[in-house]
Amino acid sequence: MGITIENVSKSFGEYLAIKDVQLEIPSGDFIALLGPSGSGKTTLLRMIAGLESLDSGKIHFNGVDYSNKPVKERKVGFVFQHYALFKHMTIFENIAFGLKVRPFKIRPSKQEIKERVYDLLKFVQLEHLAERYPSQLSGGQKQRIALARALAVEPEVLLLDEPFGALDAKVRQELRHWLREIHEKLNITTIFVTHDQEEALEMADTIVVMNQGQIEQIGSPDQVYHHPVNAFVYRFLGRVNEFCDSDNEISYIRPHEIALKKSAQGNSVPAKVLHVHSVGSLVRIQLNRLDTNALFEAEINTEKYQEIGPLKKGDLLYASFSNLVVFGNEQKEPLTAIL
Amino acid sequence: MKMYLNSIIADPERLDRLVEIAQSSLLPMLEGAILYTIPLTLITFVLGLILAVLTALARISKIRILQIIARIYVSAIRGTPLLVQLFIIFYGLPTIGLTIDPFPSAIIGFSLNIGAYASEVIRAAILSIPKGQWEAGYSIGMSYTQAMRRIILPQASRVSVPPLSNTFISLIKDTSLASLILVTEMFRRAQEIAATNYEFLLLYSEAAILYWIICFILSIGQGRLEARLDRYTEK
Repeated sequence: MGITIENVSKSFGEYLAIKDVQLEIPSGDFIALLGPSGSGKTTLLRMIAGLESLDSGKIHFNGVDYSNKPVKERKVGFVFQHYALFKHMTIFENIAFGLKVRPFKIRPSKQEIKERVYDLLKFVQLEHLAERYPSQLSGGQKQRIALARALAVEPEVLLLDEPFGALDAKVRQELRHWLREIHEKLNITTIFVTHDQEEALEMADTIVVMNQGQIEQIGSPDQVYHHPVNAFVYRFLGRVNEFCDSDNEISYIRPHEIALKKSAQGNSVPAKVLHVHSVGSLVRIQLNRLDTNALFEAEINTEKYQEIGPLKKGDLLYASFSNLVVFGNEQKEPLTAIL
Repeated sequence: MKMYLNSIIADPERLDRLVEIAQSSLLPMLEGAILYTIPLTLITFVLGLILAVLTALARISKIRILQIIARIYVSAIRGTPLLVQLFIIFYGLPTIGLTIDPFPSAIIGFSLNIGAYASEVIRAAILSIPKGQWEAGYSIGMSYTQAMRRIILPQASRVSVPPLSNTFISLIKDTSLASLILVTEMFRRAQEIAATNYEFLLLYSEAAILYWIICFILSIGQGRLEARLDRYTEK
């Protein structure tokens, strides 16, 4: 199902949560709404689901105005950040429930419901948990059951609110791959909210970067990462060094784009090592520019580190900043980009 | 106290008489409990709970007139003594041609009372269920009524068991007030027997012990019910 969001706004009391947002989501797309907390991403997702009303604007599903339709008519599956499984029901009942409460005419038979639920349990690889209660499951299992429950009612759009936010790093990693696979199998329009840029870059076909209730940029992971339209997007999508020159113009560079050498080369800048720490296969080095006295961070892989290292505090290196990015005046026009 | 004990020790026949009264009064009192106190408690509690759920639903509904009716009802019942309510129903209503027998009068009075008090417990329990449970219900296609009936009320009922057990225990004891509108329940039997032999301390103490035993047995039932409902609550 394709979704068109037209000039949508929403405020909570005095607080403007969503400001005149426009977004076109093609059918079958896998979209990340990415932004810091308070950027309006969750509110936008909840508005698509119908869990939040609009102050103005319209939301169309396949060209039909759904702005004022109740949740139950929207054919959306919603996965909540804290799962919101029905605590008083077994896992089987949780998944079956959306089918059981359908009006008699469109309700599948008991046998059909049972088959559907077991298919879904197989799909999320948790068949053996059918008779358990939610309180007996781990976080990752609960989240998969929440997804199975959302899929049981055959939604045309799948909406996920920070789906992996409450899980530990390893489970999160697994579930990311798994959700990607599910999207490839089912090919339903999927929108998820996250504040984790890595998660967005890794999973989504399209990333919508949000800030203060507005959309800053819409694009593929490559586009938003390599061609950010403004400083906000650049800064939000990864680690960043900021250098302020004499005209107060700010230029940016990512730590891994800084080349470090043991000897001077071209217009490289001498810098002193302040701190070295290795993070798995990467080594992060804090340095101090000797020309401007500015602090910055460089990131190299362990192989490269063995070439120039080992380093200790006070060592002298030469850094070249070949990819500095400048965004001109930090003007912030509301973006009305459409995919 | 000392005089009372001395009078018993000094007079062995007095002791025999007391034992005999205690024994012979036990049966009529238990009969009062089985025929009136316990049925009155159970019927009233069931009717009262139905009334309480309806009142709680009215109070949290979006329909203004229902809210107002529910508020006035709860306020009026909680703001007036139970004994006065019973007297109005049994002694007052016949004045306008509405004569109700003692037992039905008691059922009406106590049910209205439980309905008001328990409605506040149930309302709080409903409001304590996280918003996400409602939203999860809506998102799989449920209406307000379906979500309320199948998702919210079952969970709210678990939350309300301990406070409602309290209400229930109070109700058992409060049924003794029915003696004042001529229901021949347990305490009225004690009063009647005491009126013939003047052994007030003995008979009223005996009644107290019987109430205590009934409440004790029922509170064991409460523990079991909680344990049963606990199996699916988040730890």
